[in-house]
Amino acid sequence: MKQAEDHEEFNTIEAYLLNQLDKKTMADVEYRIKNDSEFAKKVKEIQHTQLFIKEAFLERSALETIKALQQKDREKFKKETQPKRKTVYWKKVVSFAAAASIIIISYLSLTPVEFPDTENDFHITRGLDTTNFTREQRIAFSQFFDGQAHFAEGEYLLAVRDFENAATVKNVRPYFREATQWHLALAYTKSGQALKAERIYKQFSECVDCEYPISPVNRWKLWWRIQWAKNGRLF
Amino acid sequence: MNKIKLMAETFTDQQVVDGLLKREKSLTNRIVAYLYIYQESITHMVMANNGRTEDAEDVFQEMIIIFLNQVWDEKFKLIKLSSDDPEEEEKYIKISTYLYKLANRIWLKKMLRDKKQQNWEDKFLALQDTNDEYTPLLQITSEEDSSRFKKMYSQLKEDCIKILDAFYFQDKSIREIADELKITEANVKVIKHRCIEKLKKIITR
Repeated sequence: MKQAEDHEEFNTIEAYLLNQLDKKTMADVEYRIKNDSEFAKKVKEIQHTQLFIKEAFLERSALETIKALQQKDREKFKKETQPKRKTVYWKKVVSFAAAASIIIISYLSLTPVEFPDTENDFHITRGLDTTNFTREQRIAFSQFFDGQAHFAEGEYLLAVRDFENAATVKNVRPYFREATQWHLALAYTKSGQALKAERIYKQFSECVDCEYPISPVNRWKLWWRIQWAKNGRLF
Repeated sequence: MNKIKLMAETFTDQQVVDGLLKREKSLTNRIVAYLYIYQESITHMVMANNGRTEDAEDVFQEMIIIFLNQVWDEKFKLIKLSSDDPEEEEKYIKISTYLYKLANRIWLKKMLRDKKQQNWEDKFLALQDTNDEYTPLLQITSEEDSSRFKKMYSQLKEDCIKILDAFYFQDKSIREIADELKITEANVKVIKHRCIEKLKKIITR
């Protein structure tokens, strides 16, 4: 019974505080507030609690507003910084590519072109039976190795002359003939005759049945040197 | 009186305080959105003191909650600063200044709590303006202490929160709430009464 009365009283106070009572009931409640301190205290406590509830939900709503604004700002910041990140990424890629290019160019430019060691390939160069060599062949072999010696000494024009003479001999093994041509191309490059070097390079660069084995790296080195020599630069 | 520019809406300091005291959902949110312009300066302050953007966001959230509660509790008031010169224009403590100081204090507390930096407290306190007598800054408690919603949420059950939210914040009728929760109107009234009684005991403790 007491519980039902309390509930009823609470409903009346709440309706009063929410301004939902008719004029007569409103006047009754106000009269009680003035004359019944216990009742007035209850009204004040419920009013205080109602205010607390309202403020609690306002606080939650305010927090949601802030979080939404912060989220919006984060997304905006993300959008703004994304192109920058892409730029940084591409800058890194370009820098890396530039550094790699410099390394490759330096390697191609500064390291010597290495041809297979012909002196240790006597039999391959000249055949097992050296007794049947013609005089012309003997001179050709001799000039080839003279050319190598001149080249090593930096006498590139003399080296060109030796290799040119060696290359004129027809009756030699293909291995020797190709070796002479490659050496001649390099000697041309060193002596500033880039176009001649390029002609030989083109003749042998795409050869599929050649016997003198030049590695791709050494082909690139020679090609690179020819291009630079064509532009007036000497290695 | 200070007037701070906002992207969409501008409020004077007086309008901020008066608006919050009206306790209206839309107006409160608009004012809070307006106060968000201070997030940037608070982010600078936090980041200059070894914090991250996320920390600055937390500080700002806590700062707003404390500020709202201080206004509602009338602990924060726009008080005229004393001036010896009667001809001088009236000066008030700016909300911007107050919020910045509040954020400073919140970050200091967090720094001390986390023990992120040694000797930081001394350095920080040395930078503080000691003339705080016109503000309740010294009474600042943590968000956990001042947050009304957290207090309510920690003490009441989920159905209580739903009913109070619907009735007092969303202005729904008892019938609408009963329909939504699929219970009788009488039950809604009883639950609401019990919830308020429980809450009343907590806040009048």
